[in-house]
Amino acid sequence: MFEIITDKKLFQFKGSKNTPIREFKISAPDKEILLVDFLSKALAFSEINNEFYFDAFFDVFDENIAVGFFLGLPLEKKAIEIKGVSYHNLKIFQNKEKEWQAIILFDL
Amino acid sequence: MSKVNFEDFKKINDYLWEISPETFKKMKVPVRVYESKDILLDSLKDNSLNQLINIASLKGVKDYALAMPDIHEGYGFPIGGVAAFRAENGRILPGGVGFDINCGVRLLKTNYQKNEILNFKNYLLNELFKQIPSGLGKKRKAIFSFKEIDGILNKGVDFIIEKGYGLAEDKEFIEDRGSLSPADASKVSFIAKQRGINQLGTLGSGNHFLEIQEVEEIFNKRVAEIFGISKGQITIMIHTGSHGLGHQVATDYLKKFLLKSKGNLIDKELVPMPFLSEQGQNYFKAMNAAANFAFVNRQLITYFIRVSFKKILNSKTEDIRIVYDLAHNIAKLENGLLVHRKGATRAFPADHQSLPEKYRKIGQPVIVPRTMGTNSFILIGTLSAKKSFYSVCHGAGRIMSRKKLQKQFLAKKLLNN
Repeated sequence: MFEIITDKKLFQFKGSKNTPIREFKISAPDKEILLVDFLSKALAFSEINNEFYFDAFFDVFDENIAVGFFLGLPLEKKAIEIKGVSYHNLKIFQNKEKEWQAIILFDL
Repeated sequence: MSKVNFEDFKKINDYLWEISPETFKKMKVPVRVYESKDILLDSLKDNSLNQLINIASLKGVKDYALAMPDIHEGYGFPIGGVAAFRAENGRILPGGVGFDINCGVRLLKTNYQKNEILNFKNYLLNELFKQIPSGLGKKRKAIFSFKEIDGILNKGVDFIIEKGYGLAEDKEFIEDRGSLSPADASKVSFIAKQRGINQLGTLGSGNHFLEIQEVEEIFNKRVAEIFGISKGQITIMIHTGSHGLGHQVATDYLKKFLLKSKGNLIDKELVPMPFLSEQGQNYFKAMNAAANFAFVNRQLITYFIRVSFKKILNSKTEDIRIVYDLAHNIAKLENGLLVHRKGATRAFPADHQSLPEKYRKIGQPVIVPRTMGTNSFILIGTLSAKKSFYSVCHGAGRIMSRKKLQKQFLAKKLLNN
């Protein structure tokens, strides 16, 4: 999500001692709600703190719960503004390589 | 999902088509579409009319699920869709309001003619850009404290007019006088308030705009005179809403409703909640609060437009007045019904008690913006809108997705044209 909000090149950065950390704790009855809530949380943190997040670390993570923190950087310029995360035509699936993929529509 | 075809429609007249509830088993009321045949055929290309069938299948839905002429596919509930639910046993749908709660339009009239401002156009535009942050992620230094944000959410425009951000008469020309109730700031999350605090008095991005316009043609002299509109006059149109605060309210309550929902949902974006339930009432109060925030946002933009005109043209506050301000993403209690309008405009007829005294003899102004650079229209509500719960279109509609548009109209090509 933040790759389209800001400059993709910034994602090479791996953080420093001043890297902003934002903690999250999300629970949901299914993985769709969990994913939308997770992304919505990142979006809200981003808008409030003027940051983008290039990584997320999980202390707990399964289909119904996600606890961890985002690692961020100051967001200087937006390439696009994402205002919300929708459930519209949302698909979460495993591809042939058994990797998880999601198709998600953002409200611009 | 049931797939609707042109053959499913019965023609009522050249501009009204209906699908009866017998067509699809789950439907509780008919679907009615206010479109010409050509536009209807276009509407069948996206999923909007199937979404309308889903709405016609919800418990407590009254009379019809309606499509305005500018309908297009939305999240769960189509944009340009209207549905009313009985207050006593009906449902409230965050998806039927949309993410940008009280996205709406305000029209200002000025005491200027085109030739009086033409030489100052660039100065005026620069000043407006300076006074009103607009575009991607643009914020401003917070004008109000969090305590004051609560006042804005609870009271709407009244709260800031008392502080000097407008004329006392301004609120007369705002739908519901710029203050929806019941509104309760305590039902709006702190995250939502944090998202909104720096966005009050900003235009935002996407299809939001501020346009300086010239009145080109008058179709009804009497009505125009009452609006105070004449040929050659400069008007200003504002299209914006509740920004991140409204989005967060929608996000928060969609999740709350999903956690409470039982059984299979047709579409998660269409999750309903009994209107009179605690959660339903909480959303209603939070939605009204977010709507008040949007009314205040448009009022603050008006304030900064007045500041800009004063600085460049030495104008007085009274030189810029409101013709009308309306919401086109909202759910409202009207005559015992909860009417959801998502991308649709309320259009009350003459003599309606909700109208400002000045407009009571002619009907509610209905502001219909079109694509920037093309003409916009001011219409009036009439009695014939009764069958659509006094609702009409909200804009030009969308014949192409943004993605398709971007592919066809590269910036370079657009600039060359």
